[in-house]
Amino acid sequence: MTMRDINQVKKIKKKKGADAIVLDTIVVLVISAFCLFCLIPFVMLVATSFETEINILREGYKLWPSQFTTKAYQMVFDAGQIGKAYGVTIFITIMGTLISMLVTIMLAYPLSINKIKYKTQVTFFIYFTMLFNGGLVPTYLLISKYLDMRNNIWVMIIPVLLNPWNMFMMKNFFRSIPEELSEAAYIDGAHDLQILRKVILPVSVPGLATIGLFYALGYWNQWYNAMLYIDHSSLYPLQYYIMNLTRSIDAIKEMARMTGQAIGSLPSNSIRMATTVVTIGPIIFIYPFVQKYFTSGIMVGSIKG
Amino acid sequence: MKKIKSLISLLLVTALCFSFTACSKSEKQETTSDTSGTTTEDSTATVAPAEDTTSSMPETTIKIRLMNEVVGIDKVVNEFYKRVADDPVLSKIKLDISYVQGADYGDKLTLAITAQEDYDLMFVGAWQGLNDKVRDGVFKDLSSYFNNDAYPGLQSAYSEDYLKSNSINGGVYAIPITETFEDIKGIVYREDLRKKYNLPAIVDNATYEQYLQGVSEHLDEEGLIAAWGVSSLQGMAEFKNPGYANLRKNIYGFPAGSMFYVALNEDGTKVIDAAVAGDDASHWANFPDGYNYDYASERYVDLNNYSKYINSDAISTTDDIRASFKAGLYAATYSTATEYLTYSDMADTVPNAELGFYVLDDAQRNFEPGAIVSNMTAWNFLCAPSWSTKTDAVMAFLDWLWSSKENHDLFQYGIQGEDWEPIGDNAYRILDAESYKMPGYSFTWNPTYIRYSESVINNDYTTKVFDYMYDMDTYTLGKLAGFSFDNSKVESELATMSTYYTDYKFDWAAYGDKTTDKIKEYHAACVDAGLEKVRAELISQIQAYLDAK
Amino acid sequence: MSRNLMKNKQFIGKGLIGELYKRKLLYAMMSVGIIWTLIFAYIPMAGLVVAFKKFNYTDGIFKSPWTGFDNFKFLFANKDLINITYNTVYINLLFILFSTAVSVILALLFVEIKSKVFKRVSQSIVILPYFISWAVVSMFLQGLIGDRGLINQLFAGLGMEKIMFYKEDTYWRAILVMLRIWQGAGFGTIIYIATITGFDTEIYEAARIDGANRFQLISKLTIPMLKTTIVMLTLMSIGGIFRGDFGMIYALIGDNSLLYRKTDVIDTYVYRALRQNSNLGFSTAVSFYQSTVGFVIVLASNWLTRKLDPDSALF
Repeated sequence: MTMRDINQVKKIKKKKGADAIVLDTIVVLVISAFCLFCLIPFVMLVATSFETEINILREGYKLWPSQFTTKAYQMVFDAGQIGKAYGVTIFITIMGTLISMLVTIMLAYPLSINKIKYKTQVTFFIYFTMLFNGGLVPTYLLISKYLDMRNNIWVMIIPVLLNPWNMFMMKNFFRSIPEELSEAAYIDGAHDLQILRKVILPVSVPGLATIGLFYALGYWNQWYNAMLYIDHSSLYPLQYYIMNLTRSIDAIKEMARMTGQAIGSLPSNSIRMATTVVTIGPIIFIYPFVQKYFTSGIMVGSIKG
Repeated sequence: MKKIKSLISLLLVTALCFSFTACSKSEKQETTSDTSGTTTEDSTATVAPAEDTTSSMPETTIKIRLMNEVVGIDKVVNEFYKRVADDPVLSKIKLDISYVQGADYGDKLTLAITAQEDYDLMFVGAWQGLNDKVRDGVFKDLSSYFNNDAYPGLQSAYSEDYLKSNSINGGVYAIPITETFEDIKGIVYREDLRKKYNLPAIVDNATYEQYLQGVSEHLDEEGLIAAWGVSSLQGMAEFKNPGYANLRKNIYGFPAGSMFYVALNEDGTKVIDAAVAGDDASHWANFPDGYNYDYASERYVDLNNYSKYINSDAISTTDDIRASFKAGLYAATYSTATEYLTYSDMADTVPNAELGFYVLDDAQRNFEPGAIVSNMTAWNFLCAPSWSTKTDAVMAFLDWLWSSKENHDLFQYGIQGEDWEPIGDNAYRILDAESYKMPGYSFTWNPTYIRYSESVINNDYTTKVFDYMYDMDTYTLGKLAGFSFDNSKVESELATMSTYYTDYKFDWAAYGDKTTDKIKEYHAACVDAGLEKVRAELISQIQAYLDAK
Repeated sequence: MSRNLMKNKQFIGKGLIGELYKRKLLYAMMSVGIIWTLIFAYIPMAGLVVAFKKFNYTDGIFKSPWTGFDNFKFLFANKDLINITYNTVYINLLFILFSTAVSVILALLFVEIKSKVFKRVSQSIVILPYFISWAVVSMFLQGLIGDRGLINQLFAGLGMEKIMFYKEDTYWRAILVMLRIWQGAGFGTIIYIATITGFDTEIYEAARIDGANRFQLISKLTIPMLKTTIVMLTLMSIGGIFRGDFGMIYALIGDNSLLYRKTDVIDTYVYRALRQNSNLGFSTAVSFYQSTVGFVIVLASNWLTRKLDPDSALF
């Protein structure tokens, strides 16, 4: 190495030093500010879930409850059915995500290959459904009357199996994989399925994790199909069960009003908060573990210089 | 070969998954259904049918769908089976009662009807498109079951007037469910504050205003947000509302896109005119004395005098104003007689709180007989779908339900001694609020079988109000009882106009001294949207109805 | 013999059947999704005809009588139609623009974080708002900017005049955009982070050796490579530009007509208009209208994208 080279490297190092510090400071400041922006309402949410109803009316929403009570949570866990609801939701989340990923990959991968002649037509075919929707009544007739899927746990999975958004994003991920990889395998004599399994999927972990997460969250939050098609409370998923709790309280109040019963104050505001916490809880626990799949340890351009 | 193998295995996996649908479905059908209502299995197990060599009716299960939560229905249904074990017809009837939450009920009703789902009796609210559905032939005409000696229960529970008032297109397509035809409207206020600040007794609007004025000077001391708590749902709509006084002069209010005031001549045979706020004098000129000018607009302008007493966020607040009043944040709020009772435990949260009830309508406040002109219409109905084959069984059951106080009370309050107990003949007390819940307004309510709740009889004034409310002499049958407006020709106009009606916040005194201009603006918008067409349609339909009487 | 074989191959190679056979595995894979879409998306689409019919509950979808464009009248008769349409499109554009910008910037920052702990924790925090329902947000918002809310208390404390946020519509588009960012930007970073993670690190290596600093790496490499994803997501969002976010706006604004001039969108207007109306045809007509306009706009945007940057086009 010549003297010039060493100086060059020194210069580069110096430049790296300066701009690294500036960038890192900006990063920490901005991210922290945004985190605060997101965190504070959540803290208020948790605090309010432990506050008495009267105090909420009198003092509004604060960061710390002035009169601590677990009444709202008692109501949530009291009915005992919540365990079943969790079970139903876990089932449909796992099964649903698996099947959805299967179907989505089977659609997204071929569409990402340039050589497929009809890919534009199929893409359009799928995309069109994002725009045009027959509405609730025809869908209901199809599922309830013709397919007879009422009161069947699969009604919360099969009719919502394929999400076009997710499919397009997956297709995008596949497209970003350099063609040379699959070309090489093709020449070596592998057929499409093997290429998919052995070449494409291992390289697509971030994309798969992301779309898998999106599907999982969708199934986790699912309530609409339960509302429409499920009458047996043993099949209620968590979200719907929780919604019913809140509505139950409103219905009790309504009934009391119509019959003139004085029923004290029911935790209608705090229970809304408590139910939100109960739903978010599991997600926040699991999320950090999933994170590592779509944010690998590699930082862009961070090789220590 | 390898290719084909992989392909087949892939398709097999997918097919397996889809086949789960078939498997788990039949599973679900076999396991005992844990419905929110009763189970048919239970019912057949408990009671052996009586000797039925004479009865030819096969065992029938009727499916009933109600609005809002039902809890503990099984034991009541079993009691029912016990009581009818000896009846040849009734012992064959099995009940399957399920419910849907109120928030989803409208949508699910539409879907259930479109898919013609297997229900034999359904709750339908007047606001859920009842008229349209009847018009489309969705429900059966049940007239033949009423005023029919074979159904004495129905006969005693439903007078001719009551039925006629709720008939649609001349038939009984919907059975009205209500206990009273009017829930007296008033203001609940803090009697303790009135006494504390030496304010006069509230006996009319003037003294009410004095109360508001007096309390407004002490908001901070008392921890009040405002003297008068007004909700975002209603505003001051019932305050100084000419509705009841109008009715006594044959002026009927019709919210059809806009609020139409329809005046009839003295003997109720001819329509004088239909006017809305903002109409020019010609429409109002021939109205009865005292009302032959645009009093609707006058009222809107007058409300601005009260805006200083109400909470400033009245239009936007998401708070439950009733809960806030109970928490001591307001000194007065709108209430009805029944709702007033819900505040009876207020002393728990606001020590020293005493309450008073100010009835808004003058004649009602003085307990004048015949003061309430009513069309005797209910908001809630039970209907039998036209595709149901079990209507005979349904009507037999309903006949039983309303044939005696014991039968009615069983379903409305639960098992006597466990869930509730009677206080004399006319009142009841709830023993266990959790073990039995029945939304009576969805199923069992009837004017013939009334029990006051405990809190009513504990207070002299409320007992007086309730007695007045439930007394049939208080009511005069309106001239338009039984009339229902067919909106099919003006649906589009009504849809557009109804948004203006909710958008202009006159009942919240939102416009101050610009109120008159805003009324003009509102009126012009309605005219553009088809006001005259709706007016003509309304008048012609009412006139046709009056002519046919 | 080889010549015959070649002739056969050529014969099979042409046309639909040939294409299907050539990559039969791939087409077979797609068939599952295609059949699903046919059943669960296209069959119910037949119900759109109700938009042109007078829906009768007994006649059902197929036997109800035709009424042409009657069901569209109530929408087009509204005196504020232009305003609500403008609000719908403008607010949606603002949402797309700001959400995307903030998500992308945050994503770029996230991948630069050195500390693993800080990274994990902060990423978990920013997705929290996504799960809070708008009904709850509405309550908190009142607690913040309501008449007795925190901000007005602050003003009162400083001796300044209160701002009646719920009586004046001036600030509301900004409020909506800020809430939208708060709710969705954090969650939206996920897709961008995943995309960036998939980038070829060799390019970055080469650029570093050539002397690029980190800012340059981001601006000259990362952002251009993200372009395809950004354009694709934007294109997909544009299809819904005529559909207001009803869940959000109705929960926050409700029946507060004082704010409608700046915030009322097609969906909230239709909801209010049809509250007393149970005619299925009306709501279907509006949906049809919104879908059709969105469709035309997407076709136009896609065509434009094809001309400028074919790789990013949707189809």
